[in-house]
Amino acid sequence: MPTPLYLCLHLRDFAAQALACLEPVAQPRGLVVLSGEPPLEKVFAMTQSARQLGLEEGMSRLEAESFAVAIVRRNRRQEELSFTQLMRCGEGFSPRVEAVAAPGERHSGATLVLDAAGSERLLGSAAEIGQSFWRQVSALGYEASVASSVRASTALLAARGRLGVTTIAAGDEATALAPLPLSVLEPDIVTAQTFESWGIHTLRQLAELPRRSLAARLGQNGLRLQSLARGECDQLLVPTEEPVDAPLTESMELEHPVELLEPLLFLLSQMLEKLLQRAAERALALAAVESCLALDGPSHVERGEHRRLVRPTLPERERLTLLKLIQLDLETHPPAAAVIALRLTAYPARAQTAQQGLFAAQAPEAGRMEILLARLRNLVGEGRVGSARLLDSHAPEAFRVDDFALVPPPVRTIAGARSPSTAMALRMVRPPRAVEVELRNDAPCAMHYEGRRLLLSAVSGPWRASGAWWTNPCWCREEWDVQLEEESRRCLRLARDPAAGNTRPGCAARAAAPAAGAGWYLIAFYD
Amino acid sequence: MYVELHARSAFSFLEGASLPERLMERCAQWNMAGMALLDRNGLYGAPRLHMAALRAGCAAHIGAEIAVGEAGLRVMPPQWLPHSVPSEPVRFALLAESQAGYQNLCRLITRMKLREPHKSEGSATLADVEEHASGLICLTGGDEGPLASALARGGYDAGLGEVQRLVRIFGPRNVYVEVQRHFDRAEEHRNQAAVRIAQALDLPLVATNGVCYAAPEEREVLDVLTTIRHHCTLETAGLLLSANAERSLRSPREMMRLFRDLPEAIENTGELSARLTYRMSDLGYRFPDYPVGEGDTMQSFLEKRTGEGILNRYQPRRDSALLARAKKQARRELDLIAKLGLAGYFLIVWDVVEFCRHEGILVQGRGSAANSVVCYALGITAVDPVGMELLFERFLSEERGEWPDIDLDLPSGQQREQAIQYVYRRYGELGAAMTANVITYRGRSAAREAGKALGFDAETLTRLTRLVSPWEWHDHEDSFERNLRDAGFDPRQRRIAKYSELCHRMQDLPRHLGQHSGGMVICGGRLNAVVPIEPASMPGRTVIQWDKEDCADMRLIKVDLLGLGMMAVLKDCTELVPAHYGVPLDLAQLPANDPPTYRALQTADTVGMFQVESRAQMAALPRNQPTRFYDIVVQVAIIRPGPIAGNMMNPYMKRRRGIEPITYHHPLLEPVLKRTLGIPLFQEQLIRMAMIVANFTGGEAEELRRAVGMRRSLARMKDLEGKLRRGMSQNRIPPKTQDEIVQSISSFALYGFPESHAASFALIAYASAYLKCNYLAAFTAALLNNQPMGFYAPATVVKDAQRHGLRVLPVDAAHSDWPCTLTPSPESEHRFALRLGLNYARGLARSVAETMLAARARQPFASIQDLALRVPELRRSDLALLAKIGALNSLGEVAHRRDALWQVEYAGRPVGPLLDTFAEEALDESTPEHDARPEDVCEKSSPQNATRRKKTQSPLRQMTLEERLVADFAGTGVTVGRHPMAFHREQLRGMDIRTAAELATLRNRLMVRVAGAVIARQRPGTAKGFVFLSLEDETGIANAILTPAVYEEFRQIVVREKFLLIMGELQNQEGVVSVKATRVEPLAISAAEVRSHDFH
Repeated sequence: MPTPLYLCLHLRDFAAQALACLEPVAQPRGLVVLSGEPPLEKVFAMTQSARQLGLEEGMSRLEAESFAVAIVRRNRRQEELSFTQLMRCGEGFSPRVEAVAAPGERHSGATLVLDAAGSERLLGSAAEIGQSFWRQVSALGYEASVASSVRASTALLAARGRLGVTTIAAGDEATALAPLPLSVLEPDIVTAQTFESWGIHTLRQLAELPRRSLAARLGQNGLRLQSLARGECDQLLVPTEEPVDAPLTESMELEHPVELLEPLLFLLSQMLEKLLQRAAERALALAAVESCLALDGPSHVERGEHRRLVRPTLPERERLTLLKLIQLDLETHPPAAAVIALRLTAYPARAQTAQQGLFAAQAPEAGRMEILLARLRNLVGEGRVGSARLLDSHAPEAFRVDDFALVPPPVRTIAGARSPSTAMALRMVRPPRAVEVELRNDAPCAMHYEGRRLLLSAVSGPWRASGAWWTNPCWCREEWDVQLEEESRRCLRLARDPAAGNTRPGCAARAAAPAAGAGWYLIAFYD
Repeated sequence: MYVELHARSAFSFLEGASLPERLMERCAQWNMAGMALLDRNGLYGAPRLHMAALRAGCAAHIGAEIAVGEAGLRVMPPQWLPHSVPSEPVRFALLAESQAGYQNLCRLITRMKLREPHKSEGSATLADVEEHASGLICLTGGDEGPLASALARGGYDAGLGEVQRLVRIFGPRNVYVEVQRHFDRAEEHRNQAAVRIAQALDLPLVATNGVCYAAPEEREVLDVLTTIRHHCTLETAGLLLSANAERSLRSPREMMRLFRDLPEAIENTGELSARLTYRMSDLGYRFPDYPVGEGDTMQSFLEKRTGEGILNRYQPRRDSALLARAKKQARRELDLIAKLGLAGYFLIVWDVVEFCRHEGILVQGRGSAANSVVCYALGITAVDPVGMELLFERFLSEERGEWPDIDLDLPSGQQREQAIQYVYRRYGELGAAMTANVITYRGRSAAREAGKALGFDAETLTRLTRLVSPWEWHDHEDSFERNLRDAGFDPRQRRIAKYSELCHRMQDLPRHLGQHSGGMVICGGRLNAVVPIEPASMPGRTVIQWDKEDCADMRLIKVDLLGLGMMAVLKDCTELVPAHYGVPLDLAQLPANDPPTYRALQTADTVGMFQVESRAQMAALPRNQPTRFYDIVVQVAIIRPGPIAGNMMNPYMKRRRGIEPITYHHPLLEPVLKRTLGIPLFQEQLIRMAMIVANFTGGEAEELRRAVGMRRSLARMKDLEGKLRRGMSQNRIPPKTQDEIVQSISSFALYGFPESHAASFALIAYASAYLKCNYLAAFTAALLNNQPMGFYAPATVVKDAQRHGLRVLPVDAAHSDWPCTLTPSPESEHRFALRLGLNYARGLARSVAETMLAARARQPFASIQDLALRVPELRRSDLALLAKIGALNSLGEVAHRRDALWQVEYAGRPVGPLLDTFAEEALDESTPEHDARPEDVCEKSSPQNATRRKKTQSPLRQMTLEERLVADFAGTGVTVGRHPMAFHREQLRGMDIRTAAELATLRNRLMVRVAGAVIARQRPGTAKGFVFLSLEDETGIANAILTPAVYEEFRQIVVREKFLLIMGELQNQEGVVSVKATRVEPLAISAAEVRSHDFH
């Protein structure tokens, strides 16, 4: 059995370091990362140069702004990407890597522990492995510390407490840990306060406390912390594995730029097949597929990406359905240049298993419906296919189009059935038609429509509404219900924008008397 | 003729956007005969409308919209529309036709409000409405009314039934079917039904506009207020917002055009207005009678009590001339009191004062009441107005025709509450109530709420809110628009422009009703028939719906029971001094010219003294050099924004020191201004000046003072100035002198201070100074027990007391009581040492401490274990707190604070009997010695203790000096050990840093370096942007002045750092020492959390 060997990599202020790598210019004057909801944002992490200026965690934004540092908000996405990079780096030294501290709500640091037992013959001594690991991480632009020990916990504490590379020989654990500050143990707040009030600031001081008295005061937690401080604590390593529903990615680089959709679809089909297969291995379907097409350009800088997301209503297992959706989407939104690389990212999810009711109306197959809707969108345009939803607003005809959603059919009961409405129906004219209107006593008396002058026998109005006065443009409308004098005695709804011909800005005030004929529209017929 | 009969003002709290005055202004503009105000569930805005109507010559009809839960819910948007409109009960629109109707309305509102256990909107029941329907006229209302609700619910038939119900409740003559037109289809549909119902029931129609604001553009403010009410933004409010801008006050012509198809609805408004004869001038308010025995009237009873009081007050002085003058003045006052019928009022106030005396509550009248010898004789005030030649007219005059204003200062806290509850008990729940305080939207609150409504994200909101200057001082270019630009916002951008506009428009609009700090209104009979009463947020208190200005306008009499921290200190001293020093202490009989007291005042050694302890006072005292009581009166009055802004302080000080000659505008004014060296300082002097130079009567002169002071009516001011000049011309005062006198009056009238008020405060100031100089231990204990109060934090008070030789002992679980106490200390020059109380252990609950004290009284605690066992209420955190601040050091075997902490952790986690058999490990012999506190060392030095300690000492090292300082400040806010600066003095000397005490010995204009803990930061409005810092070190307090430029340069350091090093030029003139800073640096002295008292 090989001698145990654990390596620990620790990056303090990882949240800041991950961003500092992106903005190296900011590094000399320091970079500060804020977290939390404004206005209660607090300093979450900072680079070493910022720390040297006197910044501290927990400072408010205002306090941080008084220092000459770059201030950015926390970027969890970037942290995750950078952390994945670190994991890959660690996996180069050992397949057994535990992410002890990953980017999270509370932690601003990142810590990995590697089980490197048995690697000495391949990679060199513990010190050499540590040096090599540290060099690789440093080359990525991070300020890291690496420690190795026969105990995982000792390596972990040493990495948290010391910069650079530390190698702790077996039996030297207590001595090596003694000068480290107590904070490397990361005790809970109450315990930390207790130690603070006791004047215990280093691991040596904690290690020297009488064991039984400590147990009487702080219980098992106290003993555990003391064992850690003495370098006596054994800790099992639990390798980190990807979650089951982690996104799946397939990518492909093309030998020549491709301009036509058909050959692309051929490649996309193959990639989709693989993704579906990988998802099926986990008994999952695909809830969404993001296609990312790298575009050709004259220089590296000008090359762009074309990203599209296809999200079927239900998680899908059928390759052809997904492929068709991607095809229709790309036809609607074609890339701006030839494609030189492809990447598909699939988001797995559990397949829909709900059973339809025995007597439920026959609905078309979900996949076919998706394709039909995609075809319609292709024809009429994005945002114009779906179900209309009324909005909470006084604005006339305030609605928006929502995507169709799978909702259970309404339960119909005979008792609750409503009698058909006898109210007058309103047939909207879209788009409204401009008409000329003659006024008498500020009210319409006749209108000119399709070349005819129509007298009005009855008018009712005006009905006024206005709103969104805080935006530009705001809206205001004046409506009249009128009845034609001709035989049909048809009722119409006319509308007018009172602001038309009115130079007064805003619309909160009532409109002045309008000029005849200005801004009148026929907006509806009463049926 | 059209009269608007249904309007809501901003006093419908977030349901109206214009003040009643503005509505009435528009009403008068269109020559409308009057208008009616119907605010939601209250008469909050009625007095203002009434007063505005009196000024405008219009009729103010009073009414209210009353929520009636049983009458259904108000109209809601159709179900198929998405909306977030909450359901609310319908509201009856009620108008007071007669005084009986008004009283019923008040009672009805009071009934529904007081029914709720907490402060809330509440709603009436139909039975309540029926009971109080007499004298009221009911309109069927707009979309909030019962008719609209019934029509929406059940169509015409339901509407008809609803109106029939109203007719049953109010009678057929008193129900009007209301029609409103806001250009809305659904509303017009309801109007058609309403017209049919009116015809069917033969009821009159009446047109109203359901007004919510005075002008159409104010709809925007209403929309913002709506979002505040519903906690949403303009974007998300949807149907909660107004559909259009049609709810403004419309002109009669416009209304007639709008209702040309229903002319009777317009005509009926005039007829109904004529029926509404009730005016608020006739409130039916009566001050309660004071019960007197048979054969006495209130006047005779008052005269008897005054006569007795005069003798008690003046006879012991053995000055027959003074006594005669006092009697003569009392006779004059009593005659006037009889003429004005105010005897009852004086007796009621006397009754409250007598109650306080009986209960041992210290009480003293302040304000203009101190001008009255009757008040002095009755014991209401403590200033002798005859001896001090104070002017009675400032208090009461026949011409003014208003009630006198008597304010009583009481010890803040429980004793003041006792007095308030006595008034409630004496006059009944419906006979007395607190005055309201209308909280309005001001700078920051308006900025924040307008920003929220516009949907600015929290970050932008914070940036915008910060633009409203937090300091009292505002630069002349400190406009909101400029600040917006400076902060990177474009004021031309529509949303930002709207924001700025809304912030301005929202200024002074009412936000909610608070409670006045001490004003109580008392009524003979039922107060709830005069003004509605509602529960206050504070349990056991009720509040009327009007603020103190409204009460004054409506002639309701208010007695102010104000809390004053220093009164509580004086009260405590009256118990501590006799109990410990064995001498009686009568605050009314303090030695008049106590030399140590005046010495302290002259040298500005005034930390903790009432009114004279601030930095500005300290800077003025050495120049004023007070030598008699009247100098303190001037001192209290002169350091005020008014005299400072009016540039009165410097001339006075120069004249006082003989640098400038004492001159008068006219020889006639010499008797008036002589006491203040020719400089007018007091309101009484203004009154006297007008009386002497222009032959004004007392009442006229008081009116002049008010007119100039309040600057309400320019026309009235011009009128009075003309009269003043005419009077001066009659007295042959040359025009140039007239100009000087008029200028002199105008310049200080705005801020002038009543001499009587200054005298009342000066009495308390003198008493506090006398107690501090003669009974330092008792005074300091009382001061510490009544924190927070005054200008300085407790840490500064403690350090100041120590510098004066008082020994201050730390909090000690074995010796401390809950409050700070005195303990004999024969070796001390003050005979007593001060023991900090457990009230200074931050976070220790009083109930827990008292349980601990009770246990200790039975038997002293032998050890921490004993304490933890016997007082299980003490949590581990409490024990740790006590251990950290050294309060357990004298218990049993404790060696030092860390030792106590070690034991606390053991005692706080008792182990079971199984583990208890294991003894604690033997301790290392090298465990450190005790904590360095001398008193602890004394207590621990016995051989027995040493033996015991060996067995149980902890393995922890003792706290360092710095750790102890940090623990002291964190756990108690004070330290009884050395000042943090003292520990570093040698090092500071090496840096050429002077102590605060040294500065006074150095020559003027020397460049110096001074350092200390920041104990106060100020940027007063009168100081043109200058910032004043007070730095404390172990020798005293040093003052530093920062110019606006220096402040801007070092702003972050000045605002954030706890210890500062300041470099600058020493200003040492006339005993006033300060450093004019040129540079400010942070000083890393200690991590102790020293608190600064900042005045922004």
